[in-house]
Amino acid sequence: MKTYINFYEDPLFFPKGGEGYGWKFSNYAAAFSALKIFREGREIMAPEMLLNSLLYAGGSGVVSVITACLASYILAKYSYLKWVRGLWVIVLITNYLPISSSLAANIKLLTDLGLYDSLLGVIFWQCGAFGYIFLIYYATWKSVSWSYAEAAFIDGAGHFRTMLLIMWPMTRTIFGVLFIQQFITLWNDYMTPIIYLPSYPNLSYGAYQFQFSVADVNIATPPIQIAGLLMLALPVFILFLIFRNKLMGSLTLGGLKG
Amino acid sequence: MTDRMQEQQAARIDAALPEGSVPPFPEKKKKRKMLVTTRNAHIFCACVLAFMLVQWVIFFFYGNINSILLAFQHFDPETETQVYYPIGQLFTNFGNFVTDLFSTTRPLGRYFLNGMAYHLTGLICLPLSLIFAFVIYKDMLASGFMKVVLFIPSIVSAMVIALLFKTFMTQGLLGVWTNLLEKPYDQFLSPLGDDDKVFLTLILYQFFLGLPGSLLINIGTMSRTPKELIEFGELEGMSYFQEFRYITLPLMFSVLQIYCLGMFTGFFTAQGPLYAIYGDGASGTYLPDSAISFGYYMMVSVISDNSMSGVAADFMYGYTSAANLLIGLVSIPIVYGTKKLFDRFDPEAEF
Repeated sequence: MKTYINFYEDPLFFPKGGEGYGWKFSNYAAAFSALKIFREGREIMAPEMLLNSLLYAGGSGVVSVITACLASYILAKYSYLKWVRGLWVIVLITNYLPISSSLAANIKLLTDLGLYDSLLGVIFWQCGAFGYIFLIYYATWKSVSWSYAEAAFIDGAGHFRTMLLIMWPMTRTIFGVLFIQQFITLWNDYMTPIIYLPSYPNLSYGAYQFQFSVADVNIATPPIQIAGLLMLALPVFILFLIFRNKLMGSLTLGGLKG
Repeated sequence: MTDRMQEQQAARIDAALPEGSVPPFPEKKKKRKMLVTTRNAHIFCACVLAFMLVQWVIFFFYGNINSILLAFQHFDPETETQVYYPIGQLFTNFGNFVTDLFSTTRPLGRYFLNGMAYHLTGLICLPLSLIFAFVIYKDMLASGFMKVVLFIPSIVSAMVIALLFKTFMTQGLLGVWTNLLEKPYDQFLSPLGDDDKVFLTLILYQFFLGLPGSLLINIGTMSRTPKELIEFGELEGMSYFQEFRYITLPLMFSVLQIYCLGMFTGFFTAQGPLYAIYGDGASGTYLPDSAISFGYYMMVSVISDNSMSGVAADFMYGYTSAANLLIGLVSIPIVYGTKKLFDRFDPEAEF
């Protein structure tokens, strides 16, 4: 909230008063209007980036938590079926086989499948069920007693109904926590949009590009750049403040023995 | 009569009969009928997992196969596609990578060591992050301060923190240099642009970023410690250190195992904070050579034309895939050795 002169003279303390100094709340407005990306002759402004951020973080967040929730439920509760137990190999390979497809191969694969630079395509690509979220949800399912499901089966409920109406509600909190955590991670993600979604820049992408926009010296000053970065961090910070009690103490990981 | 007894009886009759003769009664079908509930369970599991398995096969399995195949290919500018090398030169990309890695004239070996150093800060931070999580979990002195200082890097984008750090280290320090220290403007050189200081500066920055670790997970796991266990310890006069050493750490063993395995998986391809601070090196931000990591070099070579490798990104696909594959193969014994080591010392604590 300083003027550039004030920041240059004294970067560490509060803004000074007087001519050419003072609290500059307008830095935030300047940052918001300066947040733009040029892509194939089109100017993408901050509101569109905000929409992209919400679609990317919300869409990919919810789909990846749903897939991990379902997969971990099956592996935690139906492990008496041989082939289901065998799927643990997939979990181990996904998480701990140090051979991972290279960035180049990913770009080529998505391009070949026609999913490169497509929001839906990238959400589909990212919604892998057997990763980190799986391990957290698996630990949760393990702590939920199967007796509830057995009681439901005796009352005539099927597998799907039991999962949806009896078992899942008991893990609603962890579902919400994981979604918020995933939302925060994806909201902050700038690498995926830069590499795989160049036509759908999100706010993180915009803020990242901000540091290189040196064309307009009135905008590319440190106080305005910092204001832009703080604007990006603000929604996540608010989300964290609202849900901090849920977020803290709800997450744990399942062990991988054997 | 049980199935086993029936089988034994049938075997005895078969043995008693002359070869080629027909048994006196038709063989009983051994096929067991699956229970309806079990069949439904199979169908349910298959339906629920179908989408996830298809997704895994396409993006993980086929993606990795594709990556392996790409390691044997090169870009053909005429057809603008990746084509296989002739049989005799199939391993050209691997050879090029190994030659570059051990070359004294090319800096790839140094990039490799830099990346490992960036990544190793995480290993040093791990015990500290556990102690911080314990302090917050036990609500000890300064836990409120730690919550603020450590949670911010956990939730705010690494890019935002990196850019704030960059702004302070360049513009902010310039202000301190010229106005507070009253030194000449033209003698200022930011540590981020100074070849001698940049590596240490980035290591310290990486260390600070790694301090919180997975704070949410750590606190969550610690808070599941059975209260009876702690109360029993307190009655016996157990100190905080003893609680941490003898109760918390053993109960967190499986989580630590996951952290360490994850850490070794990305050991050789760590990038450090370079992309967030310097971009691809082609945007006017000077990146000293002494700070470049191997992971960063590989990534920028693939996503930006002519930035670091000096050629278009397409020409680097095969080379980076070969490097990725070789590194993966080298990592396998390290990862599985670590797992075996953890399994050996596992205190078998379940909670």
